[in-house]
Amino acid sequence: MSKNTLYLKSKEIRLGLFLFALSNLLLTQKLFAQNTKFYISGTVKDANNGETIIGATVRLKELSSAGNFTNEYGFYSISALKGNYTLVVSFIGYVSFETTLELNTSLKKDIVLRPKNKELNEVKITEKKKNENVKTAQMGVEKLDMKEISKIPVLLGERDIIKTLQLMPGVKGAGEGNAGYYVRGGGADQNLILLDEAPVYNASHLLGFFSTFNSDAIKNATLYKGSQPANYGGRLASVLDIKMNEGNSKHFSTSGGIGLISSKLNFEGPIKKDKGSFLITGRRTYADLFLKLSSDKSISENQLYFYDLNAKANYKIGEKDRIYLSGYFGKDKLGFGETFGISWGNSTGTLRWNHIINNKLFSNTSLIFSNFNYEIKISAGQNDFKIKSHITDYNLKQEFQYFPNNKNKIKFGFNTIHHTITAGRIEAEEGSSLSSQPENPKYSWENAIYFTNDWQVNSRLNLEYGLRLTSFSLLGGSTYYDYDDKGEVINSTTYSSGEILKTYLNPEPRLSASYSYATDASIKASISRNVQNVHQLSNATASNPTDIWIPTSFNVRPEIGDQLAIGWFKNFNNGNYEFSAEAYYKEMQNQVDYKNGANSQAGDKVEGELVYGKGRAYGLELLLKKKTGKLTGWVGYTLSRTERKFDGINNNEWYLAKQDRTHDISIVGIYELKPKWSLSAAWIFYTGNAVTFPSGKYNVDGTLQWAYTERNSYRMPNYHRLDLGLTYVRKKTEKMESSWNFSLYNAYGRENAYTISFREAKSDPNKTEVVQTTLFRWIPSVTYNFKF
Amino acid sequence: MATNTFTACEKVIDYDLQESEKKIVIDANIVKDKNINTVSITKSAYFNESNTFEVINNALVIVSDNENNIDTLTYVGDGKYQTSKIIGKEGNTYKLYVKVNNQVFESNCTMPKQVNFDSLFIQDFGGFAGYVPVPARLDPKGFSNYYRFKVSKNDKPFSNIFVQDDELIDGNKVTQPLIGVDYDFKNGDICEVEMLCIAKDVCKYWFELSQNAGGGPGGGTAAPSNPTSNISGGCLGYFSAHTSEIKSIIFIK
Repeated sequence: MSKNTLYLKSKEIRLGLFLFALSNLLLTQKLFAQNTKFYISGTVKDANNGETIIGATVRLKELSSAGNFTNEYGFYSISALKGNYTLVVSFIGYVSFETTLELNTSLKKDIVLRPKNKELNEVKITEKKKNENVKTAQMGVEKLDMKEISKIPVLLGERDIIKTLQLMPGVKGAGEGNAGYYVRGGGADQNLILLDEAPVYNASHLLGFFSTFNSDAIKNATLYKGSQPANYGGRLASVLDIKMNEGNSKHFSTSGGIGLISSKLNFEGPIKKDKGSFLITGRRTYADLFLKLSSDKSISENQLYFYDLNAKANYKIGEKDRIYLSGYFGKDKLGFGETFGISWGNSTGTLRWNHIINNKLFSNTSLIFSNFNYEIKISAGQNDFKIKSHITDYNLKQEFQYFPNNKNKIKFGFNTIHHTITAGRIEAEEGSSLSSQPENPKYSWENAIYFTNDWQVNSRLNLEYGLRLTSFSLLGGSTYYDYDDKGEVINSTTYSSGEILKTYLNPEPRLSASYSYATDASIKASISRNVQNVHQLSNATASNPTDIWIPTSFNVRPEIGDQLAIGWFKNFNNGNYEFSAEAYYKEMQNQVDYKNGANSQAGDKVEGELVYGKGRAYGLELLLKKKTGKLTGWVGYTLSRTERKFDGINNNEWYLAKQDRTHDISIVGIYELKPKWSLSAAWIFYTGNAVTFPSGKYNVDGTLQWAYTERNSYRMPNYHRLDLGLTYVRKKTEKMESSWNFSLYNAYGRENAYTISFREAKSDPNKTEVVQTTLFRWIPSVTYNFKF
Repeated sequence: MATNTFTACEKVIDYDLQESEKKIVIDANIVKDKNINTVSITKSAYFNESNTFEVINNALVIVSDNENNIDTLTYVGDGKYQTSKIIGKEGNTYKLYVKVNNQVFESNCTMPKQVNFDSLFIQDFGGFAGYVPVPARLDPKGFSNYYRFKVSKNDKPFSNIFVQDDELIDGNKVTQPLIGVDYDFKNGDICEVEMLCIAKDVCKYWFELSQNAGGGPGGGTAAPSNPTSNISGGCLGYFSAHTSEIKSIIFIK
């Protein structure tokens, strides 16, 4: 087929070819391929529950280079010339599958892997998988398998994927009572969190003590620390890609956990055996039920709870198509009697269609809905009002995965999102003292096309390169304001809907490379640009559910982040130990923050309260992991610096960002005492965050006030903590599984500072004193988990 | 909020706060119909010093208005400079000139029109805030008004700052509960509320100052700073020409 006829076929193909043309290699290979190649493709699944397996190794024993991994839907495709081969499929924790085959035509081969009985078999990692961390071009990536993290001790016994990620180098927790995290000097809003491809705007429950993800419903999670491939986009610092379980397609199964403050239940099973399955998982805290026991009315009338629900179903239509429907719904409620209440929640829905076009081309189409809203309700006598905020996205994603040969894995596609954002608006009841703020949602349209190729150049060199082209358009249908230097509105313009008011266009090139100078050692480098068009504003040191999101506008520009990273990866002791050292340098443009003394309740005039600036961050991350044996775990260390430069702050000079921490250490160990007992421990240490404290005091109008000098010139005290966990597997059979988990948070009772405040001394009103507030010392907990 | 729901413990710690350069603090008020108006000039102190602030007794303080009244204020001790010649009137613009050694500080401020303070009552907000004083007034429609409230119990003032602009209350009958203080009223307590109609930049000053309260995760602002003063020359403090009306109520449960 000549190139010309193809070009004329249709617009879609033209777009596709444009993307293809970015890879010279591909075209040349196509033209010069001399022998006919055949493809083996299919899906890899768990034999017991039918869950697809992500990242399983598929290779041909006879060819050293012919190997691949299953994609996020368990699909693989490898190719070879005509001949006899042994196909080997393996994945950690499963018995390897081997079969001989005669390849003289392209084949479809679905494979089931049987889980190993861990108590009998030593975990053996295949050669290919063993050095995957070294070989792949990707760097700055952390993969978490829910099974691996289940024994790490956590607060109140609630397994939490985000809290566990914070134990990895380069990822910093925002502190106690805070589910926010900072990656390589980025802000908490610069992390994209995807749950089955749907963006989750607020990942915290109960003011941050828990993350929104019920670990029972999750298959795995991957965190990219800024150098993610071009199929991801939208945030500056990182992408956390979380995949939900699909549900058991073989038989019905119920599992759950009963804890001190929350319980959860999971129910899954086949819709039709081996054709489709579903899963429903729910979780609720019951701290508020204890409040009800109080005889004090001011306590018993209070509300404090969250619940969440994950549901997913999939169905296979014929050999080539599979439909997935997944949803998440979560809500938090905190209230003081009738007077004050705050509630917030995320809901997401994803409808996906997997289509195997042929044995080398895989397509996924996703239609995604995502909503986050919060509502503060105040009933104060004649003053009934609410503060409401919401962000709603409709999102269409089309991705093609193309496996032209064993050396290239290509992804290309597009993404189009319609955003509606209302930032913290006061809505008052009739007759209230307050009038409502105008309803002025902002509409915008975000588009991206991308192309990325994971190219195994030779046995030593791997390249992953790609380009993402992002456009962000402001849409009419609301009022925009112009502001003077002081942030006062000087002009307002109302645009009719359907108009495109302004479009920002940004290319985002990404390149990662690894060079393996030995089978178990490599050096890697990456350079990447990320663009962000929705921005969250935070006035408090902690991230709050009430922190508002705003879109890029006439005044707020797209944030741009450029990151350069280099790394050394080395495995020791036959792959039992993995070591990595990564260094990064990052620059961020068009950063947004509240100005000094800003009014965060400015409603649709919030842009008058903002300042703009830039950021830079650099650091070194070391990680040593022990993957096998009775003792497993890791030691992580980060040395870093994060700075900001904003107009009018600290005389326009660079200053430390609030998330700046010089040292960050985490040590995690899991020790198998006996087959049924395992002990775990996690110790963390970090330098206190940069904060603004007073340097003096004065008196106005008879009241004592603090005098400030520079922003973030002080530090919180150093933080450290040891958590211990003990897991006892009571029973484990084919039919029934149950375990007890005991944990002790902050085992040596370190009084870590939650806040530092300043006041008139209680003992001597003529003096002032510094007061430290500590939240948790020694929190024990027990959880019972079951499955049948 | 989180601190209220979980048991937290507090302790006094040693923390080495830097000793920054001491600054001049000007606290200048022209109050409507008041016979004597006062400008206080002090210096800020280091955190670890006592709360007895150094006073400035050698300043030149001049206040004038747009009716050609001008007066050099007399030092009366304790950092205070007073005038009986400048009388506060609604709508008048006042100029402040202060010279301390070789530093000059200047400001001007227009006294806004008075809004009537209609009534004061105490309302129960249950577990959320308890008994709270509520001042009531009718905000004049179509004018920009800025309010500040000062509360005291049995003549002991609370230091909390209550300010409000009228962006959201323009033309409304406003009952504004002064929530944020643990008043702990007992039968027979006298609650006094002063309502001040203040200038826009003075409102901004108090608002910014109020934003610094709290501090630390979960409360206050991430980056407290000195509020924007309406006095030029690099001092702390403010110059306010305002009206004042006081109401009081005896608390009975």
